[in-house]
Amino acid sequence: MFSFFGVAGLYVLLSADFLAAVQIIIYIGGILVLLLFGVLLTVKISSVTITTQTSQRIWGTITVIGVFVLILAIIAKNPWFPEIPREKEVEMYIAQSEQMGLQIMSSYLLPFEVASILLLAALIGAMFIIRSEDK
Amino acid sequence: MIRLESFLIVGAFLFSFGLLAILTKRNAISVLMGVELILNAANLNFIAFSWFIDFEHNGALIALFIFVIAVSEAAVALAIVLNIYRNMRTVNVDEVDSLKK
Repeated sequence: MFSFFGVAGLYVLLSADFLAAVQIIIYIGGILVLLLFGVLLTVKISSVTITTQTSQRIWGTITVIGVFVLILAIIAKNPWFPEIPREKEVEMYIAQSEQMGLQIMSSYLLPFEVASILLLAALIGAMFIIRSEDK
Repeated sequence: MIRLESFLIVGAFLFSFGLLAILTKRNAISVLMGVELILNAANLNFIAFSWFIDFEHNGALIALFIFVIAVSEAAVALAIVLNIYRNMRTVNVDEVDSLKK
């Protein structure tokens, strides 16, 4: 949860204030609560501690450290584009929700509609999967 | 002056922690938590690039749609995990192997 709060803070630093609020509401208020409900419903009273075997954990850590080093090497070696000077844009502050709303309704209209269909399909699918069979 | 690479390194950090959760956790819900961490890392990368390199807000809009996809995928995955628990009485990913000979 604190990592999600931290990432929301980073979004504010990147002048993405609307997405920071969306992140807090959806990830912490939605997904974490959903996973908490999942943990609540699937706990076994007499279970032993579910920890992994040591050999699996060692190989997993080695793989993850390798992937991390690989990504760091790519970041360090790549000549990134010259950054845009952003000093003169600070005076006229337009809220990001307004900017994104303008672009959603004009050039990103099709992904917006497809995303709404995807949400509808996920809603119906999840309710269908979890339906009990005694009817 | 915060540079672009620092945001990418934070994203790589989140990605590796999410990958660690997916690879080593036995509880299926902890694996779902790792998937959400990885999606968060990708989101951070998109928004960092949209702020540093782009004049418009293309990366932020892509990040918004990634939010939508992550939420719907978490909901359906949790429904599947609850169904597995209802049928097999366990959420241990090592014990759900009835397809194995």
